[in-house]
Amino acid sequence: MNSATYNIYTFDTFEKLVDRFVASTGLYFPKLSEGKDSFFKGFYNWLSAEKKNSNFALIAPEPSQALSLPNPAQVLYSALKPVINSPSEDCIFEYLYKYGLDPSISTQPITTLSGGEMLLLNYAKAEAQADYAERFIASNPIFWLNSSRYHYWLNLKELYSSKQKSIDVIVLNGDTYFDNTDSENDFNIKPLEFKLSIQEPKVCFPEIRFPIYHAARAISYKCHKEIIVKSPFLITGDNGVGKSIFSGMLSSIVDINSGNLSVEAINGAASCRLVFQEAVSQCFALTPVKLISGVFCADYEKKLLAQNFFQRLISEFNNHEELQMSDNNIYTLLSLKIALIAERLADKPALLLLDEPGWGLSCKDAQLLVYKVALLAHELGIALGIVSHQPTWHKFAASKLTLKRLSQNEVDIEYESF
Amino acid sequence: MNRFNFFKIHLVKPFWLRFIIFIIVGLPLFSNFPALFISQILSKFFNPEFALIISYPLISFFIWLFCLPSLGLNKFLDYMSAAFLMALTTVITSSLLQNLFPFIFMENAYAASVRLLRLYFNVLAVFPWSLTFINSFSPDSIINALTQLRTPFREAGLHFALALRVFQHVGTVVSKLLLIWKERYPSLLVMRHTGENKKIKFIFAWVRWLAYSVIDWVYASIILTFEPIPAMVNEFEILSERNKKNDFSEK
Amino acid sequence: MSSKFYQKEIRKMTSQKSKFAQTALISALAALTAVTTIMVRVPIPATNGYFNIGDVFIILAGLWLGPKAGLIVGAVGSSVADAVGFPVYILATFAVKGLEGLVAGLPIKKTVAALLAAIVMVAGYYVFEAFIYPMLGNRIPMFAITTPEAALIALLPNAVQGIAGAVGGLALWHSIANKK
Repeated sequence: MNSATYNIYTFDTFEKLVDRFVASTGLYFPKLSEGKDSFFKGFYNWLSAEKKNSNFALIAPEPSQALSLPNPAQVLYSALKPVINSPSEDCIFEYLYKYGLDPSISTQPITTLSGGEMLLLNYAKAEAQADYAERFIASNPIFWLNSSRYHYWLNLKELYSSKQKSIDVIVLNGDTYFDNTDSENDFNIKPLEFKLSIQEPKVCFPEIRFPIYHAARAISYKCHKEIIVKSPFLITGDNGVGKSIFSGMLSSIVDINSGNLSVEAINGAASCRLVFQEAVSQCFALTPVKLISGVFCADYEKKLLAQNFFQRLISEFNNHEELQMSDNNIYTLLSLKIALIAERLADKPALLLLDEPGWGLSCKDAQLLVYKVALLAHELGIALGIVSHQPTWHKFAASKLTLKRLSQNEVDIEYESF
Repeated sequence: MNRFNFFKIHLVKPFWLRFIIFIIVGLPLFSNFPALFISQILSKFFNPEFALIISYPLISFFIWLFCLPSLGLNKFLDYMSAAFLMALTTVITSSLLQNLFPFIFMENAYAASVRLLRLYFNVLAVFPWSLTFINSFSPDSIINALTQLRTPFREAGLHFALALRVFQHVGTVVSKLLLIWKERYPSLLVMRHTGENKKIKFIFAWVRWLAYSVIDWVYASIILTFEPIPAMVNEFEILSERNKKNDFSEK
Repeated sequence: MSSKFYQKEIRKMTSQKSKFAQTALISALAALTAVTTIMVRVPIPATNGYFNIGDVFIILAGLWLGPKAGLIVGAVGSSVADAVGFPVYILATFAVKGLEGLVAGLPIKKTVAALLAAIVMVAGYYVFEAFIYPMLGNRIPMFAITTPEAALIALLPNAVQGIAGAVGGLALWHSIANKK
């Protein structure tokens, strides 16, 4: 008789986490941080390797990686097919509803779901596969969830345990849920103030019918105030409430259809720069050195400044031996994030926003990075904002902006100073 | 329910009825018969040549009225602005060539004018009609139906579903890269600099930056597109094997 | 091991690996073709057509994955792009770009294949714009959107597009496909 096991594996770097996941599942995940030559070599190796399929229920390091069908309905239909001959629409809706997902997203493209929604869809899929999957391998299964939704993970874990199926959880050191080691650092950051003006901004995304249907969406932020915000500050809220869109509006990459949203630093600067959740994509598949020299190819002064900041932040991570190598041939997610931050700081904006800075980093590394960045940013007169639902960042923040859903398309913003 | 929904062709069900309506409305684009028929009626009131000429804008206007509710005013105006630009430049360029090189393009001036006028209104009708047509039929439902059918179509359906997912993914990659680019370079084609470069030096730097940007875009698109392919392929291989096992056990 | 032999081996491996892997790669390149064609569009007023850089991926697909893949990527990818903006050209694009991808995948020297593909594209569009569309346009008004004189004007931008596609496709192939 199979004895089901529940194993938690922790690693200090994202690269080691992915290696373990690959070893456990037999799947191939390319490491984008190692540069394009390495990427294409690895891709060729995969093409020429023998076919090796894994019949596990998976939650991949990034939630979208195990969702290969175009929409949630098809994902669940395929997962349920071996168990139920013709899964009905009601059956699919039941699974979605069970994991806190609105059935209306069943025909929405996977790519339009938030990180939390994708993770919950992975849970629903794993439940559908529970009868026939050999085991359940989950990487970072909690990261994208708000704490009010942790019970979904508990339910799934109990289900697999009751079916005598083993569960392997692969996370980074200091994961909030699985490896709750509290940092002993004392984060003493002197606050910096800036003015934030919110005049009921509204964003509309038009309907697209071809080649893939996207319904029209609108998000309205029902808030009309001017606040003096203390940096570092936190932008927080439930999954899918609109935090990333709000930070996009602040950094002017998302166009505001009506209303206004603006930032003004004490020195008069008004721009905002943003480091996305996915640092690797934001590096445009370039290595840190090429990124900085590419962006500032026409500005030698800023290039030197960015390189200076990069080296300064890298030197804080003495435990990462590969980063201290002089030739810098090994690139990691951490070094890519530092390069992105250094490039933005060199640009001297009024505000620097970090969207989920802890993604892909151990708790210790994430906290150290944000602390050192906050010190450096304040030294330069740049305010720092963290966009996250993780409870870790509360101890950093001097103030907080909480986004709360009023209705399907309306969000309220509350400010709180600590 | 919005009373204008009745006029929105993309909401008509079933899909074959929608298709038939499109063909009927678009008949003037497939056949000269409607234009000739209208000109015959109008020739009772006008000169026959003039009647033929004004039948074309009448047909275009009717097609615009058909497309407008489905597209919405903003999209309709976007498409029409592109259509007008295309139509005008085609006709003006062609007539210029006709006049500059009459010995090459040997055509009677009047006949050429009528032909170009017809072309002009044709473009103005074809453009919104064809875009409305394409926007009214979603490939999703076809693929959904295919994935639920029995083999061999189910296997084909899986391939189509994978292709659609990859297309979806590429759309995400490119829109993400655009956002990333916009965040990095708010003016899109202006590099970051403190503005102290001399003009000529700046132009050289800009050309070099643009060339490297194109290369970066191409590589970034390829790499980020290929990245999830192994995981997608694995999942579809498993689905295919499961389908085959199910069919075998059912037999 | 010669480059020709290596490429043949890679194609064999790809077909053995999985039909799904082939589908995924071909779809990816077709989608990239569609996107690059849509994003960078410079209208050619004379013929209602446009200059674009999508040929880079069509030629890459042919050189890397073979004639069948090149045909599909060229035909489908470019037609999807035409569907979003220039739908009347779908007929011409499907045939011409498909042929371009097919020729790029022929088992001849890569540089020759790429240049030949570019020539096929330019010649194909000229034939459609100068003869086929005007002829169809006499019967079916929908196709009366171009003229023989305008097709002459379009030869130059099409030639530039073809050469750029061939050079870009070859460069990408050297960078991506020549890996061991």
